[in-house]
Amino acid sequence: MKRNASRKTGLLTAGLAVYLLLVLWGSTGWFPKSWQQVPSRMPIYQYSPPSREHPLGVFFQQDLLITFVRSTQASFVAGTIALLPFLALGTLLGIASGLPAGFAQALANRTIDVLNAFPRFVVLLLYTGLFAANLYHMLMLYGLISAPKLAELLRGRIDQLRREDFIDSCVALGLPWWVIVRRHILWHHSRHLILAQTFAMFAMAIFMEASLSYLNLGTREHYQSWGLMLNYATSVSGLSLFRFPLSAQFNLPAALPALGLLSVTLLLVSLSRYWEQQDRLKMGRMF
Amino acid sequence: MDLMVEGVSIALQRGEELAYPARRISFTVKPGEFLGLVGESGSGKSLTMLALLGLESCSPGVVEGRVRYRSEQGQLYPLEGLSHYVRWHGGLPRKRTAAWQRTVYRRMKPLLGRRIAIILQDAHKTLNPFLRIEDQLLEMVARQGRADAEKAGWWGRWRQRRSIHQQLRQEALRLLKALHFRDPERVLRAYPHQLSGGMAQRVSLALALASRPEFIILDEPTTGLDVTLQAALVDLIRQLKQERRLSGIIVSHDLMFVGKVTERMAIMFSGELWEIGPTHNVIHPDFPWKHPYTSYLLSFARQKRRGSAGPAFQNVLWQRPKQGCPLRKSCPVYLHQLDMEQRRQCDSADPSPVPVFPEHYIRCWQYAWEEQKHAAGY
Ligand code: SF4
Repeated sequence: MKRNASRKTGLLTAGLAVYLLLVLWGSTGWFPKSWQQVPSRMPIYQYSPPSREHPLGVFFQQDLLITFVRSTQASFVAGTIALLPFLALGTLLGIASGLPAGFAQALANRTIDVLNAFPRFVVLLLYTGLFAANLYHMLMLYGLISAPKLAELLRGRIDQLRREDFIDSCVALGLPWWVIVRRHILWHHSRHLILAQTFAMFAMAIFMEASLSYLNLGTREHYQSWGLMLNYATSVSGLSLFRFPLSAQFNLPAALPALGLLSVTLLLVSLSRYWEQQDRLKMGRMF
Repeated sequence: MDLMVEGVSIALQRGEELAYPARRISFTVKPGEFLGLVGESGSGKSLTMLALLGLESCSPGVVEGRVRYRSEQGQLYPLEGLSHYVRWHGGLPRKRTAAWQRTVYRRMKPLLGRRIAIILQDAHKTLNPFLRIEDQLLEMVARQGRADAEKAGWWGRWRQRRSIHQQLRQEALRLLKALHFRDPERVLRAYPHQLSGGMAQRVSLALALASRPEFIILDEPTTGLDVTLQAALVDLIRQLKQERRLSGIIVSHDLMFVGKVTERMAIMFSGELWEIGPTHNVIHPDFPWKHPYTSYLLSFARQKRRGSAGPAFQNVLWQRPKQGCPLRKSCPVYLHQLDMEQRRQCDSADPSPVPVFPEHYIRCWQYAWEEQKHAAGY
């Protein structure tokens, strides 16, 4: 059992390391010269198969590997952009709704109810419809409207721990409430949970970004993403992901972003599950 | 620091009604003095203490009476006008309850952890299970030196973080040594579950003392301690009283333990105080004036090894009779010693506290009659 668990942890760490290395590579912007030189006469929608100069071939007048690495980096940026408002608003709402804070508590609870009442994708569509929005703004909005997920979990945790003797003791010894919440409740008792939610949100944001790009929603310039790669590869050029007889070479422009997207989201969701499990184990040991 | 509690009643909301786990509690604790609050489990002693500090274990909490803490410098911290929050029609609206809890907490905040410290029941549970003792203790020690640290500014604090940490650690070690830990370094590194009951008790005492309080409340300090550890705790409390001129309250069901460390003792049952006086008088078997319930507790404490101390007193916390002495159904004096006339008096009115000795009051009609006789010149 223990060996299985450590193998799983090792795999997850390795996956995360590969993803982060790709992101780092994308953000340095360094690629071999030969990869960057694409024959100028090449038709835009044509995919040319792998060669010595271009390890994964050329598509859309760009080296496919470069596009893939840049898209990986774009997915990381998208996740981060959605994550910040998610963590900020989620923690704030969670704390306010978990503490007996009178008006602030009522306000936080109603905000969670209202945010939960609307389907997230529909809100994003409405937002683009109304404001012709930037993709990054949409991701921020996605982070904000997903905040109730974290807030509800934190509300439950604070509510549970508030009844514990050691929290009573902290209050009795005069620790200010923000110290109790920050140090004793959030950091030492909920950090696994927050980490799990962070990974889950990151995965969802990457998926959302890919979906929005695929649907061509959100304005952007010189943007590369897995969603756009898929869009071009499947609809614009008429290539499809599953095609019989299967030919890896022919389907690579569509298969590569799909594979990247699926593996990264699966990796992050697994990490989220792992931390959630750790949290349950930890709380089990405590109570 | 001294504490004055005058006619305090504590209420709990039970559906549409209010129930009173503590009624008309009055006592004072003078500087340098310890008061023992003794009663059996479920008599409302811990709840009274928590409510007096504005800790939110009961709702709405203190609804009547006055509580005043006075610091050594003469500053007053009053909790007054409490009954203002009670609405008698149809129970208490929730909103008011929350507002009241916040009011008490706000008024008590400047005192908690600075001038007053409380150690709650079951020391193991009052320590954060995921934090080393070092982290928990240093947090409290650091609070004491906050004013100096704030002068240095955040950048200064950041630059001197190592030396500040070392200083705090030294202070924590000194504190643990003063509490008779043989290997304080090891205790600092330990997690709460690695400590024994007695060690956990002393660590929570260290947490409370870290803020150099003037007044300390110990709630059931003997829970989970064997006789030797109890004796060590008695010595420790005596030593602290001498060295720091601490005053405080010890809440316990253990009459003999409280008798060893307090100057005055209050006997509580069914949420009411029945006797309060100098400890020596209250627990001395030959002292002639005793409340029937105190006599029962004393005989119980003496005969603990041999068996029962007679039929138990019936707790009437939740079914208090509308009039008369609430203890009469199980009071041996009422059942076996009083004549019809005297019984009628016990049935018809609640007894008031009668002074039987300087600063010694008993709530029982027996002594009221004696006093009346005395006044009439018999
Ligand atoms: S007042 Fe009467 S019933 Fe009450 S304790 Fe005294 S003797 Fe017993």
